[in-house]
Amino acid sequence: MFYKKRKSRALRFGDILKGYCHTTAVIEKPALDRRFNKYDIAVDFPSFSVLMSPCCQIERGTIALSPLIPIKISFFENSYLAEDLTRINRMMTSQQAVPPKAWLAMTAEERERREAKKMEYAFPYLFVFENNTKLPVYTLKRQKKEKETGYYMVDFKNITKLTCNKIMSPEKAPLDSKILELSVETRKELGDKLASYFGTLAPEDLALLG
Amino acid sequence: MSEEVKEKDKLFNLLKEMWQKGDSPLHNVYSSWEELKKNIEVKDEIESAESPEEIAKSQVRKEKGTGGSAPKSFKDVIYRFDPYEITVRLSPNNEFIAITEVKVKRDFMSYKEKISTKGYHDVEAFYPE
Repeated sequence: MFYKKRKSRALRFGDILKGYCHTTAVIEKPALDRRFNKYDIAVDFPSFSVLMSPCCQIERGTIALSPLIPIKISFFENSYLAEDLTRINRMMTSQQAVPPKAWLAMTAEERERREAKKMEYAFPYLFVFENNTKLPVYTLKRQKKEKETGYYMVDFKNITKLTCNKIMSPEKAPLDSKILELSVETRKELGDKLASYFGTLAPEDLALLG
Repeated sequence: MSEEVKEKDKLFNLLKEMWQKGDSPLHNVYSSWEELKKNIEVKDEIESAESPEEIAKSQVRKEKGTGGSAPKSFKDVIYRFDPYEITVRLSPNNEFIAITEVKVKRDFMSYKEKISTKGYHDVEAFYPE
C-alpha cells in the first residue's frame, strides 16, 4: 500500500499538498562584495507539492517543499521499471537499472564493471509517487512516442523553504491543503532515500576515511 | 638528480602503472594521476638488518681481530596513500632493492565493498529527457 487509506489529522513527511508556491533565486554570479547587480526570483505554482520536512520539524511557520513533477517517458523503456515505477524508490541490481536493449548493447567489460556493484539506487535524487484517483492522469510525449500515466515524482534537488504562518505545528496547520498521505512503509522508503542522497560519500572522501 | 629523487621517481612510475589499469581500485578512487600524486605521503624509516646489540658485538669482534662482517643495513621506505602502504627496500646508497610489502590499512575486501555499495548506478545516459 503506497498511500494511507485514511489521512491523519496532521501534516506528515511525504504528504502531497496543494496550494503552495515555490521560489528559486537566480543569480549571474556570486556577489562577493554583497552587492547584487542582477538577480531574479522565479515563482512557480505547481498543482501539487510534497512536504519534505521531517514530521518533528514542522513548526513555527517554516516547511521544506518539493514540487510534484511529471516522470520521464524514458523510464518506460526499462521493462523492470515500467512494471512498477515505484521500484525507482528502492535499490536494484545494475542490470535492473538499465533498459534491456542498452544492457545487451554493452561490451562484456562494461557489464562486468557494472555487475561489480551491489544493490544501489538508480536515480538517487528521485522519488516516484504512485498513481491515485486524486492525482490527474497526464500524457508524456517524446519524439513520436506518447504515454499516459498517473505517476509523478519529486526531485530532491528542487527542495525549497516556504514560510506560512498558518503552519505552527503538524496539527495546527491548514489540513485542507493535504491531499494524500504516504503509508508508514512508503514514508520510510522516502526517508531512507533522502538520507542516502545527502549521505553519499564522494569516493575520494571514502578512501580517506578508510 | 639525487639518488633519493631517482628512487622516488621509480616508485611513482610503478604506481602510475597500477593507476593506469582502468579497473583498479586506485583508478576508481583518484580520477587523475595528478590527484593521486598529491595524496602520496612519503615516510622514511631506516632500519638495520641487525639489532644494535648485534652490531656492537660485531664491531667488538672486528676490533679484536676475530673477524665479523660489516652490518648489513638497508633502508625501508614506506609510501602511503589511502588505503595502501607500500614498503620499498633501498640500499644504503638509495638503490632500489625490492618492494617488500604492499598492504591495505584495513581489510581489502571490505574497502572494495564499501566503494561498490556507497554509490549509485550510473544510468542517466540511458534515460534521455
